[in-house]
Amino acid sequence: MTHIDGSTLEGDQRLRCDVVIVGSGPAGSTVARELAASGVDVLVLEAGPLVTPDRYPRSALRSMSTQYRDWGASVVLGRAPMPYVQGRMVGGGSPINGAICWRLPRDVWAEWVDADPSLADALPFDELESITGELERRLGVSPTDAAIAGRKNELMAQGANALGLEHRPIRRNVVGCEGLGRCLEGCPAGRKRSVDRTLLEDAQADGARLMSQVEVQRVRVTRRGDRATGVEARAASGARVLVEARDAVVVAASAVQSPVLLLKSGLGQGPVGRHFSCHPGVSMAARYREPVRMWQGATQGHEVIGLRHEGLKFEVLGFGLAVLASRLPGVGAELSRGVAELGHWLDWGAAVRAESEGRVRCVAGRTLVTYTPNARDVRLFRRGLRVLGEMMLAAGAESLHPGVRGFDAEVRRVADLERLESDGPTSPAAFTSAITHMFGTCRMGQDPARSVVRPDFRHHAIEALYVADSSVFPSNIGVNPQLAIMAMATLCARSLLHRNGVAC
Amino acid sequence: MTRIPSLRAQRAALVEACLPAPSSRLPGLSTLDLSGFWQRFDDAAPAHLRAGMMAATVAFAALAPVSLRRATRLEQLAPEEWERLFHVASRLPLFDDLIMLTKVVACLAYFDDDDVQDAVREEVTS
Repeated sequence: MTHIDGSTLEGDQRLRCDVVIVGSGPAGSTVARELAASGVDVLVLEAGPLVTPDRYPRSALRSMSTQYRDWGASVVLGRAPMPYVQGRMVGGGSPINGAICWRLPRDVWAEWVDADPSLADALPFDELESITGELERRLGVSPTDAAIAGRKNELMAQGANALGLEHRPIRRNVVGCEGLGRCLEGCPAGRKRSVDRTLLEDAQADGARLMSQVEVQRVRVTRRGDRATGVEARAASGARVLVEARDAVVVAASAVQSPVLLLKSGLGQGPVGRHFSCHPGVSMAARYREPVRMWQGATQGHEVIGLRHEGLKFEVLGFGLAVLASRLPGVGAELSRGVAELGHWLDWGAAVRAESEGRVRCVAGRTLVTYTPNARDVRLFRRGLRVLGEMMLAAGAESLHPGVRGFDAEVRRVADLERLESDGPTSPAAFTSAITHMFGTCRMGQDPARSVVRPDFRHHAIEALYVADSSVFPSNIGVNPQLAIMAMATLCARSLLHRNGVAC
Repeated sequence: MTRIPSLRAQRAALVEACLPAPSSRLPGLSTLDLSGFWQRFDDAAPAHLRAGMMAATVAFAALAPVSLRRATRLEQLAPEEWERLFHVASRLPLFDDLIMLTKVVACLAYFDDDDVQDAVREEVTS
């Protein structure tokens, strides 16, 4: 299998291929696999390094500094600056996510088709389901095994039962999980079937080439500016890499990096960078009398889905010790007291299917994301915290710490949670929140004025340019998107093959 | 900032004060060798994190003489003075984000040490 590490490249490189793919995350790896299986000469360029399980670090600091973009501390600007997390390694976010797998919900697909009927033919739901089923088999997707779930996941089931909310073990792309609780730093036992160890390996077995630590800087187009011809990139060694792509350029760099690449390339047609949507999340920390050892068991093994229709989904969180400790109350002696009993603390999260939209820009060559949750989304922050708190109290928590400025630092009663929902702060800046899933910044559609790519993933204005990641999603989807991204990317690859006369 | 030794020392003092020894079996942050951590932080942390730590250091350095009512530098503060300083700062809205950032940096530094990770895990069962 061909892998070239960009940090070792000496001298400028000029390469040729049929299709160059920018990004090796769930979208890029999926497209690479589909194309390579059909005999297409594929080159995958990835900005981050190749890190194998034997080199996954144990410490959050070392993980963040080597596997995450901006140490996991990229920030959206707005009334409530909040971090957004992106992987920057071969496999994108897949090796370091919670391994949560959801099919594209039918109700979300129906919303897309209602808003743009042309999507019904381009994204047939039955075909998406069939593709997803095949992906699930390849990735080993199955519900979290109760034997390795650990106390933190059992307690969420207990809390949800007490409130009468629908819940279930999370379906994950993990086979033989040992319950090490280290998904977010990468599974050191290699049990997670992340795309770098599955789909991308399949592609490489079929001849795809991978270059890591090579950051694409520009999509190259013809002099007339109507067709993509390749990319310009810079390797970590400093070498310049020019790639000539005979058939197509596929951009699969994420809902933040893909629009930035198009903008840097002078391809600002349509609403590129606009309609940024996401799932902002809030979390509740709780102290239990019994030792709960958040670090033991499946990193994220249980979810509550009974309020998905309201735009809320609840998950057990599985941070490393450093991140859990930083969520404890106080600083100095108070923080130290918390650290001394860290095994009694848990953190659960609520992800919001937000209504508000933001924008991704490229300013002086730098990425700028602006986003502010609206009043409805902030109301869901408060409701999410209330439900989390009620579940935690029902499951035996003795104190709760919502991390909401302008509200009680510690809560012990349901009545106080009700007050948080009804009378809590209305400013998004009051909440300790973070963004994980992002969408919509190169969204697809029939109308070039309202979309960046066509329903078949082709750019409206530039021939031979495709976008394959969650930036093409017409909206956020309210659930963890990696599997839906892969299913959509499969359709993108098939569209490309069809356009180029290759049977799939 | 990293080229200014006095600010560097005050930054280290601020971060170390966030996590005094949690128990007799767990070390305080100030007793750990953080030279590797700061090297990594200064070389590779995103600019906004480094700038945020500088802002926190400058803000606490300015607040300390006011709240303690004597001219002092952060690295000269006694543990009880840090507690007073943190207490005062926690009531000032402008310090919310700075305290949070400093706490995160302190926790990243503390748990970067494998021995500390093991000790914290064992603390629960002992």
